[in-house]
Amino acid sequence: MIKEDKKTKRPFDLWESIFLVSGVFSFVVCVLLIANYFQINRADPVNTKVLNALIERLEQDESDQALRTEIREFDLLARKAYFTNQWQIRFGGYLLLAGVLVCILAALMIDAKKTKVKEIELPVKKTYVLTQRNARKWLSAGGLMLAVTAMVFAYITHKNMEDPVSGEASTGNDRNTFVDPESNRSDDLSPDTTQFAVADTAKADTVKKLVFNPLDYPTAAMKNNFPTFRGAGAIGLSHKNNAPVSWDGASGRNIKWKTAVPLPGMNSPIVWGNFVFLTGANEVKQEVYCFNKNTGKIIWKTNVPKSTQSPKVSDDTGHAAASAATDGENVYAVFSNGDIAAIDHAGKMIWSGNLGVPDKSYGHSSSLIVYFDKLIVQYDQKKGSNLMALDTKTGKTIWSTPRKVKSSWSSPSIVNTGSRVEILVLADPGLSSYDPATGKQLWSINCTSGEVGPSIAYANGIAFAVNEYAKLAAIKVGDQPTILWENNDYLSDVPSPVATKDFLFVATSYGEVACYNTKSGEEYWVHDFEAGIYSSPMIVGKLVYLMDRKGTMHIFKAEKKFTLVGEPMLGEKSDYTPAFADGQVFIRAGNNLYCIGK
Amino acid sequence: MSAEEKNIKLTRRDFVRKGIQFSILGGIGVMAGGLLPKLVGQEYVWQIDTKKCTHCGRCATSCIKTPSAVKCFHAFDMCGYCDLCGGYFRQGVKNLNTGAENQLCPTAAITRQFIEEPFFEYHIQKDLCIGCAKCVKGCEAFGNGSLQLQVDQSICDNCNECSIARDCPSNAISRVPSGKSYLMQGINWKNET
Repeated sequence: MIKEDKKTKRPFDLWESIFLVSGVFSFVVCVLLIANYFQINRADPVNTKVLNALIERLEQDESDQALRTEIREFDLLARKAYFTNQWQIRFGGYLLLAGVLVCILAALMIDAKKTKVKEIELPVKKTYVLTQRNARKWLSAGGLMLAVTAMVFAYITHKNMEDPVSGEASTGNDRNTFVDPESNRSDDLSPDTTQFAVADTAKADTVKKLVFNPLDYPTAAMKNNFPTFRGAGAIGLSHKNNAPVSWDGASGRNIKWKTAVPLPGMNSPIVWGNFVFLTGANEVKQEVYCFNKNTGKIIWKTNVPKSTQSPKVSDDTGHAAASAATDGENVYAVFSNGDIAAIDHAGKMIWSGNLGVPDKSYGHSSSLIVYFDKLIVQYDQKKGSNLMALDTKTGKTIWSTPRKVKSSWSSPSIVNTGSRVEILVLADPGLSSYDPATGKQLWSINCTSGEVGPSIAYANGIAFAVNEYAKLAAIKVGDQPTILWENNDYLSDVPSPVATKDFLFVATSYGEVACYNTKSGEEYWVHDFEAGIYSSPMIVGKLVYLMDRKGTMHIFKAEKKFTLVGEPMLGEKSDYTPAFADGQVFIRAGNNLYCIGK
Repeated sequence: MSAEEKNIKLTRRDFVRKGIQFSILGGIGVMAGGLLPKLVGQEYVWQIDTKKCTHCGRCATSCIKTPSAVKCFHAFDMCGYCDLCGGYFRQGVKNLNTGAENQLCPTAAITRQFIEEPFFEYHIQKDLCIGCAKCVKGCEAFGNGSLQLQVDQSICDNCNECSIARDCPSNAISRVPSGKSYLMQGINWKNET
């Protein structure tokens, strides 16, 4: 009997042993990979909270050597864990694959060695042989499931290695952790485009190609509204001449409405149709506002998610210094960190993106302007200055022209010389002209220096460039630009000049205003308003509107002789340029937006 | 065994010989396939425009590779060899030494080497760099921007759709000709892939 038992109990052959060992090995690797998955999901190898807490403690007591040693040991452990986990994921996956392959090979070999006999129909289903066969099937299926699960976890783990570092890496600095309370920028700014996030691609795709005559600029619609900072073309000219000349903020006389603006911003209002637009921002939030022109009620406010931390800015600039622009379809806004967005007049985000955090002092303040289907952005900074045109429908760059200039804070103007339309841009060392269709530089002339804040004035083929500590220059524009005259008596570092055909008005930030002959440069008059001026003067019909920093609007005639028309007061500080439309004046002052008129 | 079956049967020597022949042919085919795009047309690779980069840190997390194919590169021509390096030290450190409590890099991928008073040289260990851009941001803020993020072409898989480019908020990543595969500032890069 004993001999018979020994004969029936067949010892494991080589392939069976290999099958067993590889199976157990694969199982162990499976378990380790699954365990690794859960471990890595809990770990944060880059932003180790414990480590940061220890470092903060050390900063309070620099002499604590024990703590210092503890930090170093913990840091080493964290880094080791981070890289070891990566190695485990890669190597474990390969090991599991190899183990499973060997296991399958061994199973095939075992199967091949078996003597093939014809299967006998068993009278009873639940026999010993059938049970064994079923057990083998279930074991194989279970093992396969386990291996697949482990493989999936290994893959997911590999993918999720990104997550632990994302929170920290996005801040770039563990001491300045940024949290956007309303939205996660990655959700809003990273859709399926390498250029800009376009919210409504269908709409963008179906937009018909615009047909326009360049010499129509500025169009009648632009003239009827106030589409950008300093009006259509951004040259300080209102095409409406029926603005009120009298109001009083204290009593509310002639003030139609006054609405609080949620977030601060140094940008000025723009108007289109029944809408008035403003932007506001602080270090954590960026918003675009649409006001009902008739009631002042905020119709919508749209959050522009921050794609990166805001740079340091001065109080005079803030995070929303650049005024918005509109083309009647969308409103476009740019903020201090280079975030730029297009929002339709219903408040829906059309596209958004980031131009790169501008590398300049004080913060970005160059306002936007639209040329038909192109959004023109002046992006002058310490390194890599550019003038660019973005597609108003998609935000994609149509052209980008590098500029060899220093940082500037002025805004681009678009002028129609009669024979062509040019973008005029001022920055150290001078005034440059660009073709709005192609971005090609048409001409350039050296005429200024330093940190340029004011934008240009333009009238009758002459552009006027001024900057503090530099000079005032009248430039005859054209392929061969020439400086007609220069003056350095009254210079501005913030307000931009304005000009009619015959008169140039230069407002200085310390309160004096000078009037010159545009062709000869002869000084006609100088008046001291005895209050600082940051707002840019606007020409409305035959009058000049100039807001001082105390909130008093100085209205005087655009004439050879100084004639004061009125000095209505708002009673709130204002450094903003007013907008004019439909017999109304829109003024941002303090934390409010005012509508003056009926 | 019939005569026909006899003719079909391969000897071991024939099998090995044919195997070697197929291997060589296959190898030549693979090589030709790999070289063809380079010979026929110009190849394009992904690269970061340092002028547009905002150091947001997404390069570390968006790349399909772990660690990311984006690494910090050092333009030595630009470097000020500062003792207090904004790319190496955390903000506000008091002791300018290599202690972990002072280092900005989470993976200690930057080595600091004394040259002469008061100059120090900084090297990036590519194997440890994860492309988090902390040092780049620090150098940009407090130094002259000699630390810059670039896609390491020796690591990059050159995917058809770069996941970093898709996530980049400033559109800083685009395809560039392989002949000019690095876009660093302040360095005469050899532009070799």
